[in-house]
Amino acid sequence: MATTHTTTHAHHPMNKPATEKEIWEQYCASGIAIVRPLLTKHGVILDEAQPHIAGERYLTRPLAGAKKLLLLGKRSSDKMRVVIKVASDTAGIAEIQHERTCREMLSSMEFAHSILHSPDELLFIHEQNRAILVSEFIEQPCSFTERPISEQFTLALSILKAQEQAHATTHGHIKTVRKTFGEVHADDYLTKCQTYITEINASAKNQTLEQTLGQSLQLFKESTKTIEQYTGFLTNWDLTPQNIRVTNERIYFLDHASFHFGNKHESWARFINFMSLYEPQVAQALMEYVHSNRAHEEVASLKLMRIYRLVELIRFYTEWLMRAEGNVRELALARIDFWQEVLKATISDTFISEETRKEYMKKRDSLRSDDEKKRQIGLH
Amino acid sequence: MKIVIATPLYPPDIEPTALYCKEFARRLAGAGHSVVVATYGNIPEDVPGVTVTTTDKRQFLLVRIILYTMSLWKSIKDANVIYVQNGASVEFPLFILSFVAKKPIVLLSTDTNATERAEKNLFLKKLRQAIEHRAHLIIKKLPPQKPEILPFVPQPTHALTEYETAWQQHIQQLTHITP
Repeated sequence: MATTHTTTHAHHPMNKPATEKEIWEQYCASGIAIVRPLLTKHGVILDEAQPHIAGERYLTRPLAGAKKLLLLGKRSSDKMRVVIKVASDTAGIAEIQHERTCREMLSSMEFAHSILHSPDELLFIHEQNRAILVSEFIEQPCSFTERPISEQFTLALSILKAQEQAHATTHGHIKTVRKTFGEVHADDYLTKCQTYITEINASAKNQTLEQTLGQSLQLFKESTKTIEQYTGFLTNWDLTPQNIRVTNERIYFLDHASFHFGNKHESWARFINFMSLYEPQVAQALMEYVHSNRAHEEVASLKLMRIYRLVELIRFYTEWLMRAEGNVRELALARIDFWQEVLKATISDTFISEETRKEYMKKRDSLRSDDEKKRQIGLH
Repeated sequence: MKIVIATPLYPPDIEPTALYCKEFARRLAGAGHSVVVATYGNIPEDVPGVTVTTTDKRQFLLVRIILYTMSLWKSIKDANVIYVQNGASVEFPLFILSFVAKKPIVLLSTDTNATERAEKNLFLKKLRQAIEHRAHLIIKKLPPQKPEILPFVPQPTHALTEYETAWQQHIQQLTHITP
């Protein structure tokens, strides 16, 4: 586990260029060294152990994406646990500010305020070229996936339904949401899907994968009308258990920067795809719910968005191939294979076998570093 | 019989009145009527045997009201009866058209948000009163929403039976009074 004492070196002894992991570790160490006294001045003490910057964290942002430190600490006055987000680059600072705007906007929406809660913001400062956001840490009795299956389903459904209540349709609505959250339409999804597939094919050089992706793109191209039909809804790009905390029957969202207006099944798809790995029964129950209670167009839209999100996920791990080495690279390859299986199953309206899932998990666990294993504890 | 359902909301909108209008249209079409839904939206959900005409909500208010009025006129000129879901965006065009198209109107006064808005605004209140004055029938209670079928719990058999009975009574009430 990384600690705030971590001192790493940007260069190997033989002047070999620093790896991305080494650069990230140095970024974390220098960032913490600057942030610690700033936080102390404002009554926040950083924890010694910082699990959320360790393990595979150095790879979990896109190459050109924002650099953000996610740290844990305590408020010195009452020892209350807090979460600290720190950014020093332009993109990271903009992301933190965007998150704050989205959070404020969401809390002003009557429907959302009663169902989707946000951790209280305790401090926001912009000092020494850094944006620092301190929020309360939401303690929960157990993680999302440790709850009974039926409870996971009920919670997920209530979150997804709450989001659906925000539908930007009129001229006035659109102006407001576009400015704050941003808006995505079928053409945008299609363009991104095409770009992702081109990038995957260029990096992965895998004929079977290329065929599956070709099939995905074909389905997507044929059904843009169905995708457009369900746009204009509030949706969260990263709706997974790690961004949700539940305590005293209140649901908290941790990542407000990922909200935007788009196809409402974008969140459903992300959640179901994620659960296909972590809790397949919940994934199947959500699919069953949509089949039993929603229009046939919704079923089709959800399938298309699941395909889109899987292509996006495969592209995400394909990017790792250029950035990682050793076990992490091996793991990226295993992940590409696994999510390809999920993609194939989704195209044919089925789920992957339990055997495939378990085999993958076994391989994943054997390749994960100790730091990453620690980072994963209680995460979902 | 040609029936027009004029409604501000229709699926993919998720409000109860939107879901009601879709179900109502489905049942009327199933009973052999020619059904047209005139609504606002972009790409409405499909119902076999039902024609749905839409006016893009993303236009400026005045433009969309004019376009909706034109679209509604095309639908109602040879209609036998018009069902109107309450809401100013539909009530106003219908009020204008009611001077030229003398058709029986059934007002579905069930959208509580629209009713609240009408209570707070004098123009909307007067508009509501004018439509109520022209209506042959005002419906204030809709059948319950369809019970959801949820995994991990038994099928809501009783609730589904009640739902079906309520709909049959609702349809009977409407067909009994309107031509």
